[in-house]
Amino acid sequence: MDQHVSTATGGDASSAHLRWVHPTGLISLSFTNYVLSIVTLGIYSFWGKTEVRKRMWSAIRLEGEPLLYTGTGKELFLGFLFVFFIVLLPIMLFSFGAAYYFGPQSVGYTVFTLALYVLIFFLVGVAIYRATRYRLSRTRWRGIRGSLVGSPNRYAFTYFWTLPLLILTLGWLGPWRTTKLQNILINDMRFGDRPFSFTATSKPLYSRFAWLWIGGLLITAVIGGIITYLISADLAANAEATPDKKISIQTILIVYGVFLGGFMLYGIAAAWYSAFQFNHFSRNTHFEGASFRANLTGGGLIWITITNLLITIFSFGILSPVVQARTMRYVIQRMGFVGSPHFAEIAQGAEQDISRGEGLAQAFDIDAF
Amino acid sequence: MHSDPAAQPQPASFDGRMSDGRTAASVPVQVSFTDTGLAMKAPGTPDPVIWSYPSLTTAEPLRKASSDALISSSEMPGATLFVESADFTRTLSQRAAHLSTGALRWQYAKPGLMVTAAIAAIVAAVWLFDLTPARTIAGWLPDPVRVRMGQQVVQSMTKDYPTCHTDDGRAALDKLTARLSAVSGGREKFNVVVVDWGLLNAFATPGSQIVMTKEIITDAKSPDEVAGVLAHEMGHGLELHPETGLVRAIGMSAALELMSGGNTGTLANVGALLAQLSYTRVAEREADNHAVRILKAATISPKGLADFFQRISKLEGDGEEAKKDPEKKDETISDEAKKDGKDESAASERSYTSYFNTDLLRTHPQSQERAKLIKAQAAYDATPALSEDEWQALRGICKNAKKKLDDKKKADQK
Repeated sequence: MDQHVSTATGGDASSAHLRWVHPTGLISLSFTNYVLSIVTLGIYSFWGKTEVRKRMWSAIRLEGEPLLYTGTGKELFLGFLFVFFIVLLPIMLFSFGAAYYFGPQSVGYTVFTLALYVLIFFLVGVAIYRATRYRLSRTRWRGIRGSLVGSPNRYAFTYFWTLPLLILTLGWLGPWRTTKLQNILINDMRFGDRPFSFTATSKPLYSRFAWLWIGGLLITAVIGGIITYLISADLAANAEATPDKKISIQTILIVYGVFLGGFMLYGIAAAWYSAFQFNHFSRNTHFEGASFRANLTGGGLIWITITNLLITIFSFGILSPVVQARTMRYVIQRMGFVGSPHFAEIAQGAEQDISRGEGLAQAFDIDAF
Repeated sequence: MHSDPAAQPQPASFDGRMSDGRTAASVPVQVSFTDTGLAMKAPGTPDPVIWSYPSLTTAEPLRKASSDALISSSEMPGATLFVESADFTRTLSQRAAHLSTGALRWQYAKPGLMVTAAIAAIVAAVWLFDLTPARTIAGWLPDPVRVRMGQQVVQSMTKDYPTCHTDDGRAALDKLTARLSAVSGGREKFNVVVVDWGLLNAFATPGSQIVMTKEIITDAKSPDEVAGVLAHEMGHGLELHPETGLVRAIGMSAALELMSGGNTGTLANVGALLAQLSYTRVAEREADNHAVRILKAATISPKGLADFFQRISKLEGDGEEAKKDPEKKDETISDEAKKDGKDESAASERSYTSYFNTDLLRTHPQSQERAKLIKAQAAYDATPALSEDEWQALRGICKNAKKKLDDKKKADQK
């Protein structure tokens, strides 16, 4: 059990206190869920996922009392069925029909595919918003619910129209876009009858982003240069010995090594940027006079990502609950508050009718927990 | 934690915090186990609140390792009680056994198991009552859609191979196709495409399209054999076997997607499923029955089809050798037939599936038996499928094919 007290990230003793109590028995839960999912042809996975969430939520202690996850496996299952029959199956049948009607290499099919991508990108935005809304509405603390009160379409529209611009600006719209989307999400967020507010601008992100972007460009250029040199040198050396100009195994291995090295280098830079962005967003998220704080570090994120990747690979994905708990522990232990809301004044919000789970998010695989 | 002065094994009460679910405030309470339920007493209040044991739910199932519990009760919706004590959770799991891990796991797994049972029942019903849902759906497809599907399949399959066309060869083939098509009883006319693949193959595609390789024609001893093969493939077309196969393949991949929670991405590769369609023994027999009927109505001898089956049954026996030495092949018919018979008795029912776009050879482990069945038909007056001149024209239908493909490739490159 971890008793880490986040004084480093929070304010003084009067500030609201956040703590992580690491759940026990996650490994046996992982295997139980895995076995039950197999014997029920995957249907139990929705109930399994719900049980994992219950453990994660109750590991988070605010003022010593746990969060409560009230979602059910049935809701997730119905959400998935709904999306499968209303969204996925029609998309699949239509694209299959279009491939046969127009022909796989025809202009008509290309146009259809493009239209489909447009629809899917819009739906991804809807999915992110709906999944967040579902989880908030199923989260309680001292019996008070969270909620997301805005419209998924507004979020999805912003998500959608900024996407081509992101590509046109070679990624430079990224920090602004992420901030804008986070702004919509946080400002729509409620705990009970009280709103969260988000005051971050993207300006402080840009100096770090410039380093990340230039670094990425340099890494790509260096990798490209090294590989071009290696291959041409290899070909020149072997040209006389082997007329069919084969690249030697050693060169291929070195090329892979260079790719891996470049990828890891970029990963480090990206983690350094992500940690900064998370801390920046936390500092600018407010609730009832209190503000969040976070001090994630690039090194911490890299460590958690690599160790989680290894656990996932060597357990064939079965230990994903362990992986989720480790990520959450890292984040919660490095988060805190400055100031303390007057909890006694916060009343339950208006009842929301969300009967189904977040099927759309799962369908597009944007489901972290 | 208050310890009882009377030194009982358990403390009389535990410290907890309770929220009423109306505001995010919590008050300290003393929690104790009574015979009627869990009693909570806040300081300064006269009477404790009591939640009966059956009304309780916990945030997580109670385990031996549980060191705290977040409890709510259907008797006071919205309210929560949080107690941090391993002694408390142990006592609670004794008083309210329904909160234990095992009980809840069964409760969660039950819907999944029920759905599994339902799926098993549906599968059993389809099998027991010989239901053919894919065939039914295939029957609903409008004709233009089927024709269009077939054209796409033909187009993708003939893309990299030369299609065969000479004017007199085409005329002969069209004449034969029309003669069979007219008496087939199908809704639309059949369309036959000949391709130069370098292997022996023929298959029906959706929408009454038939693709036949050059070898079907050039290896045949008579036009009646070609007529027999065409009639057999028309039989598949009449029974909508290609359409049914496609519908089944799509249905299977959709089911897989459903079971895996939408994570396999198999639906994305639905085109690849085309390569895996198979016909059952029953389907082959249906096609044979149609072939016999069509040939008879067109007054063409069924002997050609029987000869064809006999010929490929020998190729199965020793494909390479038989191909090299056609004379030897004829001499060994009876031996091959015996061997075939043995093989067939050993072969299981399920091993008999044929792949509609792979070699016909693979589809006939019991070609001998089929040849016999066809030969057993009562004799009738028959006329040759084609005249000698027409037959020679048909045999030459592929003579320009290679050149045409080269031209096509050159045009594509430009």
